[in-house]
Amino acid sequence: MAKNYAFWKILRQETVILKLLARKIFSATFQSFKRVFLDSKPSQKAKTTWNVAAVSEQGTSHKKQNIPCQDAQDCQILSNGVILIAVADGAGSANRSGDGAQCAVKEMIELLKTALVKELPQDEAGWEALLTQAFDQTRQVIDRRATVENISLEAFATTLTCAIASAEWLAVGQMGDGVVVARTEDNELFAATRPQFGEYTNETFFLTMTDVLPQIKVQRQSIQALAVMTDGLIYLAMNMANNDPHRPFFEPLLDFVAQIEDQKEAEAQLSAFLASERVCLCTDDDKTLVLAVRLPTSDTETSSTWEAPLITSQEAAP
Amino acid sequence: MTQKLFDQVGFAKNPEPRCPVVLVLDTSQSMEGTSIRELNEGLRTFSKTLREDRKASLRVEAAIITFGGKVQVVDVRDGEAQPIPFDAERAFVTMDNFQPPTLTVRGHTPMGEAVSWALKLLRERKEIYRQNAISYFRPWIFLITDGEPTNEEGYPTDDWRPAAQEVKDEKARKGVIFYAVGVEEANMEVLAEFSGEDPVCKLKRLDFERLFLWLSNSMSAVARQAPVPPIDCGEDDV
Repeated sequence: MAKNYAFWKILRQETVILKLLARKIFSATFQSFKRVFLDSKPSQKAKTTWNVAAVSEQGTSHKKQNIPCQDAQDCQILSNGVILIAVADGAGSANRSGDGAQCAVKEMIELLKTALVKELPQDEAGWEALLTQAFDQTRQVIDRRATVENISLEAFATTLTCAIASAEWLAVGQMGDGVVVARTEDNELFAATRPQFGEYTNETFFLTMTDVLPQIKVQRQSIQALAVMTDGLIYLAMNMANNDPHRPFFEPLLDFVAQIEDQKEAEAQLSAFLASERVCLCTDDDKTLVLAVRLPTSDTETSSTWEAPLITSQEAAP
Repeated sequence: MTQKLFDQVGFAKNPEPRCPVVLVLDTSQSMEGTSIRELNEGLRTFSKTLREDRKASLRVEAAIITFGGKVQVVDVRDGEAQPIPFDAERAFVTMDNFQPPTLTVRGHTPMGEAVSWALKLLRERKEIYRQNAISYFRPWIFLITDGEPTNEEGYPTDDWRPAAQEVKDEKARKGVIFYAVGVEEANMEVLAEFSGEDPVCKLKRLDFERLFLWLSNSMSAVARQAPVPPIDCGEDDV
């Protein structure tokens, strides 16, 4: 009698296991069937990843005057394939502007990440609200820091430029004279923002100015590549009269980024380029450049979405 | 392979942004002798120092207006100090082409008129920049005098007051950066009317060399968007 009981128990267990296995096989088969025959937008199911190279290089005029690099940048790729890029340029006349720039990019990225890992805005208004709030909150963080340290907010004066690209949207926000250039799937290159100057090209707007609003631009556009920079490079990269990207500047650099296998090595090479005599003859300002190229991968591949490590601003070489 | 890609990176060709400065210089009779000699030396220092800064020499543009007997725009292309017609196209020259003139003295001190001319010259220069899609920095006016405004008979006048108000208005509009420097027996109160809240510099011991060194370093700083040090009015006698 005991033997029989044990037998039936084992048989029952194995039946349960077989049922579970059958259910799994059926589910997987059905999902494959659904993906191949029923889903109308397979590209949405494809995970995307990005190749990124992000550097800040101290300008030669800063080297001469023993002033550290006052630019900063930060970049993150979320597990849902969204890329976040922020760059900042501390004002030369503000004595804590380097800290202002670093604080601004870190806060901005953190705020955007916190919002976007939960859900993406579904319309233009949603993206605009997200960015407007992020700029405001970033300024508040810097303001609190100024209060704690008992110095003026203006001491942290910095520009701030950020770009977000999801599968379908490009959203950019800007205070000051940075630039965001984007490339579409059709290889069209365009400036997503216009650097903010007043009448004078050496007088721009800073995040710390409470009476100026950030410039926010949102478009429903799938972006294949992004270049975000501070003003140190704009005379080389842009045709200033009409704010057009200079294609011969961007194409070789984006080709370079598309081929990256080792990010650290690529960034070292990009740094060396920005520090080269050829570049320094044309600009002696701090230079920041964040380049990103989207590399779609399909679902059937086992690669998980690559998350870029937190890229912090480079310490200036003494 | 990577180096080849970087070598292929092409740079856009944009005109350099411009940093215009008008030197408004007293060449009236009282500047005769050491004063005008030192001023001319100062101009040479200014020119030489700025030309050593490659970036600044392409960005800084200088014009000279003198006031001594009459108000004149001086040709700064050939060092001959010839007067030229009032023309914002011709008056300014980038420092890589600037030839410091050797100025001579004569007559009374029409300071107000000279400052008015400088403001007008800058307005017209800005218009030229806009028409040619050239970006520019906030312009400077640098006024140097050893006396006070006088009429043709050599008596002090009040006709400089509208010009002083023009400067104040332009500064309020953030249209210009204005420095006033008095040497020797200059009437500092009159200069203070032009400068408004900004301090007036009383140059010590005719140290134009030092003053113009400060000016050229400051223009370099502006061209590089770096902070400008406070004006150097020279040292007292030890």
